[in-house]
Amino acid sequence: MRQSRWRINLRSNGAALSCNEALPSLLALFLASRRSYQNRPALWIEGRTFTYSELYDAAGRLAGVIRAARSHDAGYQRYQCGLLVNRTPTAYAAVLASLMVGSPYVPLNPRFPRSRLRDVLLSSAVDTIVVDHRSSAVVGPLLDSLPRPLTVLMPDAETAVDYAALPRGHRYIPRGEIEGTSPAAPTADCSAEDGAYLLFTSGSTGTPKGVLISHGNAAAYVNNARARYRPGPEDRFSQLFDFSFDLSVHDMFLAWSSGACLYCAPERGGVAGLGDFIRRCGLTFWFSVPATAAFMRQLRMLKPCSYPTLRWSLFCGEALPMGLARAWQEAAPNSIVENLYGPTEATVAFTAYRLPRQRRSELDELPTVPIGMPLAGQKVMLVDDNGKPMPDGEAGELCLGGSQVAAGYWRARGQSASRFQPPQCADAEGMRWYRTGDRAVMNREHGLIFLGRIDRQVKIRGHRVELMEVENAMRVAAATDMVAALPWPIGDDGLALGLVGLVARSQKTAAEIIDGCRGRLPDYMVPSQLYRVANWPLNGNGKTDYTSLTGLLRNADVELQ
Amino acid sequence: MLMSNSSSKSEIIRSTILELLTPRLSRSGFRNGVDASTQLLEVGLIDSKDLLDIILEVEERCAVEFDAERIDFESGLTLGSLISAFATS
Repeated sequence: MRQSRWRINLRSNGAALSCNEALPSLLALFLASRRSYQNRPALWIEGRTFTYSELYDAAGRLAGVIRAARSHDAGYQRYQCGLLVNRTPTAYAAVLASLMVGSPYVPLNPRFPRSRLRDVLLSSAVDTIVVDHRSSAVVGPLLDSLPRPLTVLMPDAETAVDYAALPRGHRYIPRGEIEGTSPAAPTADCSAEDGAYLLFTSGSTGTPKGVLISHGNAAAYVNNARARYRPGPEDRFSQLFDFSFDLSVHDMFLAWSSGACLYCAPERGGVAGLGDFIRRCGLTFWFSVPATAAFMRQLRMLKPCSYPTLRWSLFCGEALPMGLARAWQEAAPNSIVENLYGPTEATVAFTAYRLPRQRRSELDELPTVPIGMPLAGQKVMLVDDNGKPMPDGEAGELCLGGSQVAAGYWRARGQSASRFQPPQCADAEGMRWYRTGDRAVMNREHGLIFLGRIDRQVKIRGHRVELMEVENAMRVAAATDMVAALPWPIGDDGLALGLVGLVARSQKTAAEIIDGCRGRLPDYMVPSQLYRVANWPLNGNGKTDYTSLTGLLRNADVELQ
Repeated sequence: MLMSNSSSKSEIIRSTILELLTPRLSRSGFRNGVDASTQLLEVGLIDSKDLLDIILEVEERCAVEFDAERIDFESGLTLGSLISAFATS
């Protein structure tokens, strides 16, 4: 039986609401700030600011339309809201609107290939999608031939939508109709177990796997982060992540739970414009993948004292090289640098390490910054292949346990059973666990030290990539089974800088194969080079011998196609 | 026509950038020509990683240094502003 139920009542005029904040959800965190800081800026995009009240009102209008569209369906609580958006005001209002109607939001990154977005739509329970002006060109091709009808909210469609150009069978609601709809007082009746958002990560079967993060998971993380970083209403948060990357949840809800303002990085300057962004906006919180900082360092943008306004500099998503962390610390001398670690399955970040300002030889000799200790109330354990705890000081697979761990993969019991396994010991009882597939070792002074992936998941530019998923796309594009994807080249710190493809025999040209991959994979998963391997190595079981293939690459014993 | 050292260097940088942009023009389906005021990132001609690759390639080929602080990002990143961000003296 569900416990911890609460009720959120929203009124269209934004004047009153009731919400039991003793049982927080992402929405409750926002609403509490909205009540205390209604006229303070909540969001900054391209020089425009939106107050908490303005954001709330925009979200309330969308929520009213969604609820009205679902009014005929008693089973609406089963559904989810897809967000085909890209960091516009509508995007952020849509996140809140989804939560207001009690639906998990499902990011649909318009930069991803159509086939991947279609897989997400088919795998999820999305009945409504919100489309912003930056994504409107994608919506037609995406909805074409989709087997179930959707309600499509287009709040940025200034003029009449050209319905003739859009696929039939779906219900389109343009701006005029949204503004004309009275935002009713939607009521969300949720529990801590209900979903807040559904993210799809790279899947080992070749198709993306969904992770439904509950309100309880998300609130546990945000409350942990609030206690650790103590943000206030004067703080200014960077926002560099797409919604399809769960680090965006940290930015949004850490800012909005404290009355602070979220600053969207302008796209017009790319990485070269980020220094100007920090200075011009007077940011106090920075959060990015280490690759972003590495790009800035390459462009000599980490000069000492470049970013004095920053109070916190947080990194997550891949290993943080020690030299890079130190360079950032000098560039942002008033900030505390922290390295966070955590998979999507355990909600944003699970462990953290605070880099001491003073250099210490035993620490600074490490190639990467440690990932530290678990956040409050969470547990970690290192186990062997059988799930038994490793003796102190020995490396093992990192398992995560606690209130931030999701219930399992979305509609994938088999995969859930293999990954969401508790360690084989009495200490692990009474909480959910996730086996990360990462190797780590516990250091007495610095906590956990990350040692790499156990399986063939790799991180490319901060994104998790299942190499098998790349190979599946390559097989189709190359029309052959003898393909392999390998992380290559490997940097001095042992981390993958990119990935390449290897093909035994194919009638297709390299350009055709790579173009074929580009149509099926996000750009960070597309092989940068394609090599032809004359003698395809097989191991004793008749399977592709990846070790030998890596050796061929290392010895340049392959032919560039 | 005679050109000063800095203007000839700028011309070399300009032609190098255009050469590096050419394959990206066809990849991104950008049919219009690129002029000094074309917004490189906003129109989707290149992405942030492409920009980094181009900057590093120009630095290597032309022996110049990129300085992001020379760009007014309020006006966006154009071919013209990118050229001016390379120190030519």
